[in-house]
Amino acid sequence: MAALTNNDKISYKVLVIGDPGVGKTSIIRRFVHNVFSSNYKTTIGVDFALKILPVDENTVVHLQIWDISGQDRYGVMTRVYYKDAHAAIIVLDSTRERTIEGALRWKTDLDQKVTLADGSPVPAILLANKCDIDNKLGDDKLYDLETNNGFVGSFRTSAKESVGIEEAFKFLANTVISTEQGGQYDVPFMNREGNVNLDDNTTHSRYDSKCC
Amino acid sequence: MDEKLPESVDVVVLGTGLPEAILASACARAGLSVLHLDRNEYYGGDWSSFTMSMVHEVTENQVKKLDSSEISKLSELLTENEQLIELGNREIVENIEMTWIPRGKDEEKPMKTQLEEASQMRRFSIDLVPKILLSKGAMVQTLCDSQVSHYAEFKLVNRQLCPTETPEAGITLNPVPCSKGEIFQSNALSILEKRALMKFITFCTQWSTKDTEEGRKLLAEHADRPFSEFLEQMGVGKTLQSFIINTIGILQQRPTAMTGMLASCQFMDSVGHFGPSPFLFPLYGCGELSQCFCRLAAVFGSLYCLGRPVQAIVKKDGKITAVIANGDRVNCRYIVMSPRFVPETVPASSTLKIERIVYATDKSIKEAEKEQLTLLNLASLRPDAAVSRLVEVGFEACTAPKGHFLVHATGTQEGETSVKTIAEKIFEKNEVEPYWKMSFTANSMKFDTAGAENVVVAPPVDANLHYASVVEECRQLFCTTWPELDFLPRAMKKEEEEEEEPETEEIAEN
Repeated sequence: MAALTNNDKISYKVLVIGDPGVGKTSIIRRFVHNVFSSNYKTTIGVDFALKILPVDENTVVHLQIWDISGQDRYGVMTRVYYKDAHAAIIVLDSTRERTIEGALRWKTDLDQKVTLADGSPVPAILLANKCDIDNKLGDDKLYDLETNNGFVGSFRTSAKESVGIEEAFKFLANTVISTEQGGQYDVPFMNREGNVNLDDNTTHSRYDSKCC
Repeated sequence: MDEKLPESVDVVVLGTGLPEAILASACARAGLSVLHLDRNEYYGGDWSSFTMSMVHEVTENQVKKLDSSEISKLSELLTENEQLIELGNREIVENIEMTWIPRGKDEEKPMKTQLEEASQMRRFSIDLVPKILLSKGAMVQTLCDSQVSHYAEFKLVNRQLCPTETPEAGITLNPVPCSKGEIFQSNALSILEKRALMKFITFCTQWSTKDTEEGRKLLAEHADRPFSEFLEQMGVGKTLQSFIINTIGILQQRPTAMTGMLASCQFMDSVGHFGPSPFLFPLYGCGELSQCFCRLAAVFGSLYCLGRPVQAIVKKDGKITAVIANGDRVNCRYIVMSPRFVPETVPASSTLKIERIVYATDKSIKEAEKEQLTLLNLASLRPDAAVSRLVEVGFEACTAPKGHFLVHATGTQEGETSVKTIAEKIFEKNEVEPYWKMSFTANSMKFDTAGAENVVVAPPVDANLHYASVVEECRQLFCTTWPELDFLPRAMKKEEEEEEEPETEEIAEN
């Protein structure tokens, strides 16, 4: 997808996926609002959080960060959620080994549902969250997970202690920018000729006078 | 995945078919807590769409009955005076046959192999229940009001064909003009026919401004007699009658003058709203709409759990108190369920059998310079049947790889000729050779009751062309069950969750 354009802002859609309880929503909240609350739940009625992120002195991007919103009890997401995504963050809980397997299943689901123009997977990074708590996930293992499963990067994070999250998002934003410069994002479907978007007022106005 | 389910919710929804998804989204939107379950690992239930690689899943819907040891184990979850009721597994989709068809031209390499090697199997979206949307119909209105429209894109169904059949020429497919511009340019209509059609359209425009009683008076003695008689007295000839009844009137089966006029006005009201055609088709197929409504439900707090065996419900004093899924008990105040799950002890009040065949082809039934989304009303070829239609969609609708098409035949089972026979006649006449086909019977089961007062049975699959009745039935069910709540109220323009100053209380928690 070319970048979503809205009032001249450059926006990228970033998915955050992973098993229940790994800290997806806490990561989003830390990154967007710089707060942590272990009792936080997804904001009701909101598809995504928007973060304005400077990636260098001359470049600012708007990240639309999509949360799963209660659709994570089994590793199958709607295409609706994945549609036109530019990148993804897959989260595991460092203290719960079975969430590693879950993360890989999420990666497979993602790759089946959304691809770049040449058919290759969209950029995805792996976050090993809750790194502030004692765990058995070593650096070597994390690196192996990254390289063996098609991730473009991996990071240890703690939403609670604000570790690694800013670095992870900046890395992903830069990856998305270079992917776009490589011409790998399809034109979003809503911009394709002949598609009807029910919300699009311009489509309606073109046929404002009834034909018969 | 063995995450615990919540102990208690307001509403458990069983099945992710479109009606269940609409009801789940309406409940969540109204502030009820919702747990939405499906035995399948995919969304859509009996309203699903499948890739070519996954379409075999439709035949693997076998759920074994609980045996006595399982029943006694689950019964441990019951309390005093509670009764365990096994969920039904009705045959909503049955007699499924799926086959690759060998073709002479594929002698060197079967089409299946070609598609697999080109990684094209996942480019298909094969609908169990293909429908269209009317541009100013109830579904479009609901999508816009709820803003589920954010999640979907559509294509105009930009070609309607009217079949005529003669012994010499067989079945001819005539393009039907929908807008004034198309009418004047059409070479399928004579000058006299165009004039008569414009006169009819003008009459419709005036008639649609009248109220029901006044409209009926204008039709006089024709109101409840066949629409064709009314058209004849308006000076519309036989051929044009057929066009009007089969195209403008496709919204109403076997129309009287009254119902034919209502359908015609509805049709014309939708022409020009999004384009020259009144009809829309969802990108990626109709199964996508279930997912769209599920996303809205999730955004408003609904929990989703797919691939979880849902085993039984718990009843006490005439009410359902809980659902048992994967050995967990979830207490609830209401259940919404697909007709599939209605306990076997509850009789269906009616069942309508719908014949469905899907063909995959690599040539359109009527070649055109640019790929078309096509709708044919076959009513004139099956006068005894209530429903007979063909829908052809392909790459433009994201339901097939480039150069390929899915042809959906749908018909109720009356008369001597099946929709299958007609479809295959059309293929033969136009030198179309399908390379794959799937046939099945869809059972539209209705229930007057589900055996408990706090159970809502979602509307069944049906043979209707568009979604108005599904949406209205969901609205009725919702408003009857929760009269104090709004059914998918018109949403305020959603504000994006912008970056904002952290709240004081949040900081205190660090």
